[in-house]
Amino acid sequence: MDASMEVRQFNWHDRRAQLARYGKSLGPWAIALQSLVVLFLVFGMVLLALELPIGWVVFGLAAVPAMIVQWYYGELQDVPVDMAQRSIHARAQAELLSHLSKRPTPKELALSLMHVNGGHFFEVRFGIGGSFLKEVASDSPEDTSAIFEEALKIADSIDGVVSPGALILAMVRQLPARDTLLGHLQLSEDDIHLGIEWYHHLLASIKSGARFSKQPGGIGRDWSFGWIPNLSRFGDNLSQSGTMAREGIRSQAVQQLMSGLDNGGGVVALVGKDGVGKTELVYEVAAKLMHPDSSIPKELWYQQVFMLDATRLLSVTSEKGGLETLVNNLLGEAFAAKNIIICLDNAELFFEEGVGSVDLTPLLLPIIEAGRLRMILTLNEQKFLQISKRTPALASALNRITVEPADEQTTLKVLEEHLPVLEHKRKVTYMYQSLKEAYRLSQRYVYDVAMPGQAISLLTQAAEFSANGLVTVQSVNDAIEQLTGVKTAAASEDSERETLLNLETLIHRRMIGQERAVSVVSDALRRARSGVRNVNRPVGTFLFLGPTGVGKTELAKSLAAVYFGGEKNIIRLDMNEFVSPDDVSRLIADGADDPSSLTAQVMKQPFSVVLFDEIEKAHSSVLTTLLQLLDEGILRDVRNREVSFRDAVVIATSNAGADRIQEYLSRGYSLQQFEETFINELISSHIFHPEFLNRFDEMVVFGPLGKAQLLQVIDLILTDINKNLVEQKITVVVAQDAKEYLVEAGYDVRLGARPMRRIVQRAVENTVAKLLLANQVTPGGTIEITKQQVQEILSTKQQADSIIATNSKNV
Amino acid sequence: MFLVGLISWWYGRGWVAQWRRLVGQFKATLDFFSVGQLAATLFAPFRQISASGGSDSSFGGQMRALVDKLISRIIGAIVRFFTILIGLVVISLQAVYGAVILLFWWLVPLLPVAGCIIFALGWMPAWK
Repeated sequence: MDASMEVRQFNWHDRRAQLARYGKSLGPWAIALQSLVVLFLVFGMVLLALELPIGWVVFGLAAVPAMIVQWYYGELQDVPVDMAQRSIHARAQAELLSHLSKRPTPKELALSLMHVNGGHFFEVRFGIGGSFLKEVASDSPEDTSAIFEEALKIADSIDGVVSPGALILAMVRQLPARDTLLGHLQLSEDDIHLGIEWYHHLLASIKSGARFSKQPGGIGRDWSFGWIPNLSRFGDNLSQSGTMAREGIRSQAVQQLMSGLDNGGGVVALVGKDGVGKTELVYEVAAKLMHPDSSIPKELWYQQVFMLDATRLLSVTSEKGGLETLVNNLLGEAFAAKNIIICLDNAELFFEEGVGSVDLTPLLLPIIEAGRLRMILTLNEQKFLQISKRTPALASALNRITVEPADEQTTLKVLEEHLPVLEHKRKVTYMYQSLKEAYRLSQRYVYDVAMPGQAISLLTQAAEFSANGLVTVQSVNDAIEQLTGVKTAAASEDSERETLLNLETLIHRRMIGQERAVSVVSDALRRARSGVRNVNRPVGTFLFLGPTGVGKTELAKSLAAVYFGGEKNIIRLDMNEFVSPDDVSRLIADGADDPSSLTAQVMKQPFSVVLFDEIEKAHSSVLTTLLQLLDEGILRDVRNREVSFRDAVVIATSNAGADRIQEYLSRGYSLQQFEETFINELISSHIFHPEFLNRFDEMVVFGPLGKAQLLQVIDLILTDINKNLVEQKITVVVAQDAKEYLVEAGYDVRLGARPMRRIVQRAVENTVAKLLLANQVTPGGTIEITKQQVQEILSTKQQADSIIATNSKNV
Repeated sequence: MFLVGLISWWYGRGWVAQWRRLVGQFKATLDFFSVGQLAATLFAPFRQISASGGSDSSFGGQMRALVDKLISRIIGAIVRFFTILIGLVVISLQAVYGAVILLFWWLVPLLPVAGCIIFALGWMPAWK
């Protein structure tokens, strides 16, 4: 057998494989054997006490189970991997090895995976494991060697150990339909690879956890340092808290912080957005100082980090003088002790007056400037700038370290570290896919917090939506949907599918005509919900052009009502209120200052229809601001936060060129014939810049409604009126000739169908009111309104004109 | 096969593992008592229990600080001395315990045989 074949073949008789099998067999008997040892010893002693020499034999026999128990715990329980050799029997984890037969088939490998911890880990966390693989794996032992070879390659890229994860990935790679499988599980091969690393890290953590002594540095470690009764009372000793941070994730920042502290008692400011993990970094450093290695400067060994909490200190003494004395004592104690690093978490609370904060600048500034007491300050970026502006001396005395938001890989690792605590608290189990989804969605929808805090906060909330204790992608989607109202997953429910497929019909129940516009909007939404759209843009961006009263705004409202959960989910901005360059600031104002700003509204309600009414009236600066929104689905607010419009349908309406449309139509052109020419005219007339118009997915010209369509509009209006009369149990029916009269009276060339509702409402409601007062109609009855009655109400055309005039003033 | 495996582990890797475990425990004890550090700081003030005489520059203040510091050093020396003493005793005992265990380890597989021999000899300890 050549060397490569030996690598691929499993040697059942190999010593390691044999030991692994012994371990598997002895596992269930370990406790029984221990009991047997005790039993032999006690029984032997009793016999000897009774002066029966047979007791010696019993006593001596106790050595046999005792040796076996020692062997089991010393070697067989986890037979060490033999890294000197490269074969499956040398490198596979013993638990896995113990399940293999002489000539294992891929199916048998899959079955083995169902009985080992690593297999369960992948089954639960990734949704892929033995139970699935046994269904698709082959029965031929010939196929196994390729899997082993692949598993060894995977192991080589990690730490050389073939764990169940490596075997799973190797088996997946051998599947012809692996892409379909991984796609279905929303996983990639890289994800499984990261999962193997995660599993190995967990095993290593469990092993190393037992190694740390409770008093590193010895019993007399702190005896030469000062007594710190007050600090122990008012501060939190982070050195005793441990850390969830994984070694090496942010080694650069940790190293920077160490160097900052090492510089003769330096004061370090960790500056970064909320949620980037500044405090976690301090915990990590505190833990490292308690278990120092050669990379840590000797001066910092066993230094203890005490965190001071402004709120806690304020609760002790509300008077500023008293607080100053207390903080002074605490810092004095820390200085005298010589082994204390003070951490001021959310340090801004110590440098400004406010609720839960106090300005101790006069006290702290000289101490920080002197730099004789090691301190760490954690500060929000914004607050740091504010404090620097107010007290420049403070900023220059601080050794600033910027903590950047974590990227996806780092965030996932941080989340993995947080899972044990989260899962213990919430009594749930998180799937790996849910971590990825939490990263993706929180990055888009969770504002004011940076990574990894963003993802942690979403993941915490997703626990509420777990299914049978398992937090899945769906749980994270549900959490974000409830938080923001955004539909994040692809359309899956039957009712939603029905709505999407029949969107045109549903919209036409609310508005008449404009088939092309309805169709392009419906198509855009279907593309978005089936997952085939560009996710880095809004769902759809449309410019509706046409005269007043032809249904441009109505279409936006109908869309919001039919699909976005009601007309309230429309964010409408009348652009005639944004006519100066200064109005840009109102568009992107912070929600705390102006809750009606565009960015604030979309932050609260990202899944909505955004309607820019009469866009041609907006100032060109405003239109320029909107360019990035239309192009990338992003708008930055005044605080430079990226607000996502990628779940919104953006609709702009304009009356620009309405006269030209009328002109084209009066000359007998159809909409399709002049649409392109008309848009070119708009560009050349400089009403809109070409770069602005080019940003829209579709520009749709709305034509005036014909008489037949107007009659349908009247029917819609009547349906609304009848809805209002439901309480009186009265139904109104309007005769056909009366409807035609209403069309005549209500239609205006300039205002389109807009005056129609008022005319119809006035004519019908007035008639009903008169009949009700005259007791000519009883509940349960039907009122048929004739042309004559309508004529009486709208007796003259002048009355109708006056109504129109009122309307036109309002337009 | 099982027996061969057990015996070969017992006198090979098992004994080495036992040695390493005992050495680890021994090191942990040394680290815990940190005798070297205690000896180096034998006369250092204990937990800095001393008057904050730094700001009082009068002769009386200086003297008080000196006396306080002296008392602190005496307390420190006593505490450290006894800790070193206890530490040395514990470390010695642990060394002896380790040596006994490592020696006894070699004898354990012989115990069943030894038991049988003693039984055959019919030897019994004199209880009275």
